[in-house]
Amino acid sequence: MTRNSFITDERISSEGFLATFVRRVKEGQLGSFPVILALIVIVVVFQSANSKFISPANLVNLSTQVAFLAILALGINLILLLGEIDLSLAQLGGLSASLLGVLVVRQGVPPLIALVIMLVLGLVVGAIQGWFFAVVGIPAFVVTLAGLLAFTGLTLTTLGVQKNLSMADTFAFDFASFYFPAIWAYVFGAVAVIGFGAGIIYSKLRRHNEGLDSPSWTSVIVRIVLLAAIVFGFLILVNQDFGLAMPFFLMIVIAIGIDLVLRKTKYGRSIYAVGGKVEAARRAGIRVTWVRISVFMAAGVLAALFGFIKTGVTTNAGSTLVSTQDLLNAIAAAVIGGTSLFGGRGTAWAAVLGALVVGAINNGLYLIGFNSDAQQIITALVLLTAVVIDALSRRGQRYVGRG
Amino acid sequence: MNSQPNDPAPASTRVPETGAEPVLELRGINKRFGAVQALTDINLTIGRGEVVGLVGDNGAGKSTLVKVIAGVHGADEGEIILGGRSQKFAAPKDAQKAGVATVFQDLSLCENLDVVANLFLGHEKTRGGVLDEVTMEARSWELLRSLSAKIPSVRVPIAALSGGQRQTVAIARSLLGEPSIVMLDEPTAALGVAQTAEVLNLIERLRERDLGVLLVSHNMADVQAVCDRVHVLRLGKDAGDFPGDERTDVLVAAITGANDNVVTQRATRRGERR
Repeated sequence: MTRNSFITDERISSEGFLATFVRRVKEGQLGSFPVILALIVIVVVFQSANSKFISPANLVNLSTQVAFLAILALGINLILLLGEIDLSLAQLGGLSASLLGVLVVRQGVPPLIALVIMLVLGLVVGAIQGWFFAVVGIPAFVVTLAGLLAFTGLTLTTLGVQKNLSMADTFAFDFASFYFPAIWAYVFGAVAVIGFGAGIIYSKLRRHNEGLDSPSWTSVIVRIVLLAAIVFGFLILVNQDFGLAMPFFLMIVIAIGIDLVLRKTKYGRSIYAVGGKVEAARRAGIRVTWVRISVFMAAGVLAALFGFIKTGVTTNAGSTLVSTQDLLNAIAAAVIGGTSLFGGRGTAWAAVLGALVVGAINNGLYLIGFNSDAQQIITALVLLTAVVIDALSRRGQRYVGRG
Repeated sequence: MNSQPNDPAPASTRVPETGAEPVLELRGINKRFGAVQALTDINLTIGRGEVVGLVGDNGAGKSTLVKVIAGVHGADEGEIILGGRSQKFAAPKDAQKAGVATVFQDLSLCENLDVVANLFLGHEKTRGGVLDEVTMEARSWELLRSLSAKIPSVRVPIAALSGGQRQTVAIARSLLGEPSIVMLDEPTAALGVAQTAEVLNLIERLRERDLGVLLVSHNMADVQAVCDRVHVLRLGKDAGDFPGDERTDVLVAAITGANDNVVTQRATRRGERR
């Protein structure tokens, strides 16, 4: 193939796996590497401290706890990709949950209609906040700070005199405590692994046909086997207990969806462009205002979903359902996962992996008998480390850029 | 680049290509901002495969002229003739469609995105609604190779590239729209020696592609190195059209007006007769 020799650049084709890794570290393209390393360390430490950590019962528990945190983190993650911040999302989730509770428990509205109403609430509130930010030009920080205060108040107003509201024996509880039969869990796992494998093999073959450098078969197979090992290892363990929990399943489906949109569509690309350099995005013909508002809308819907899952898991739709702790944990999760606070860098999986780290720390410390004070301090240290890594990797990029 | 005034210029490339078919002609361009007459009666012709330098002091109207051609500002009077047809640009988009590519000083690249993503930003190729990374990457290599560009990998973020490489990506991106004329606004400002040479080489590639190139620059050495002709602006007016190998002192005289005499007037007339 003449085209092959024409396109392939001699300076990149001869690079081995290790050399690629070293170059990426130097260029500040660490990706998910630090967070995966952190997860491994956390698992090893807690497992050696308490052998119950990787037990079926604890994994089921952990997967549910992580699920709603990760859904909220996925929403905040999108906003962070724009280079903005949304402080209101946790309270928005609380408001939606209270509205759902009041509609279903007190007003007798059919569950599905109430669910649609709460999701629409998230969408509309996201659109309004996005409008204030993108069109009026108020910093997102201020708009959403106002939102945080307003939604806290509105939650209390919605609940009326009685601030407690139990969601036990409602569809939200049924949904959150639904576990898939073992066979279904394995089918989902197989679909995920086969889908992933087919995707990277197809991409490899196409790249090869076009004469582009493509990953070696070894690395393709290693990646597929690794994913299969993690997925089925997890499923085999949880299936010894209750099984695959609906909230965790929903979270994974959402993460896959967001990941595909971010990586594979023009819209996703435009989010990164706006987060990287607004002026460049505008000049390239991207509708910056629409991208911004739509991302706030998506985050609003994710916040409502977070409220729905959390109210189902905790059976609480009252004023104590959410606190700013949820918000801070979610922001920490996204940043720990590797999403930059400065915009334009990060993936959907960052939110999920970061939520796993935060959830695993809280869960593990609880298991070995630390109280929540220690959990917060350690989460804070992990967050600080993540931000330092983010800042250092940006500096690394600039350093290499001069060379 | 040797810019000794008395050096004879190497032959072929530096001689004005008087026979070149014009891709862009400006006739009597006037532009006024309130009380300021930014451009007065500007006449300029750029031929196919011709590199024209646009020089002038700060405030001479270089940027305004570039913006008029790029469709950012409308001209108050005068005619822009592109590809033989008189054009009216209401917005930068119109100019782009007509074949004017502009590479602005601040580059308009997203540093967080890789080279491929930047080249195709806003014009991504898709297959069934999904980004077609393979086609875009192949096309990127093809384009960069045809420009002999030194980019180590098209999958590194722009942040990891040097200034010269970024300029290369910005120029390459402007070529994806199949332009007939490329305007470069200070492409070598803030670049090192090797990187400047890289960008100047790139300008040679543009000439080989038969594009008209308008190079806005402060740097006389760069202009003399690649330009076929040098057009001088002073206080918003044409201050002469010189051959690319014109002596530096003559150019500086035209730019500053310190030597506003027969030489520059004759040069202006020579420019108009072409």
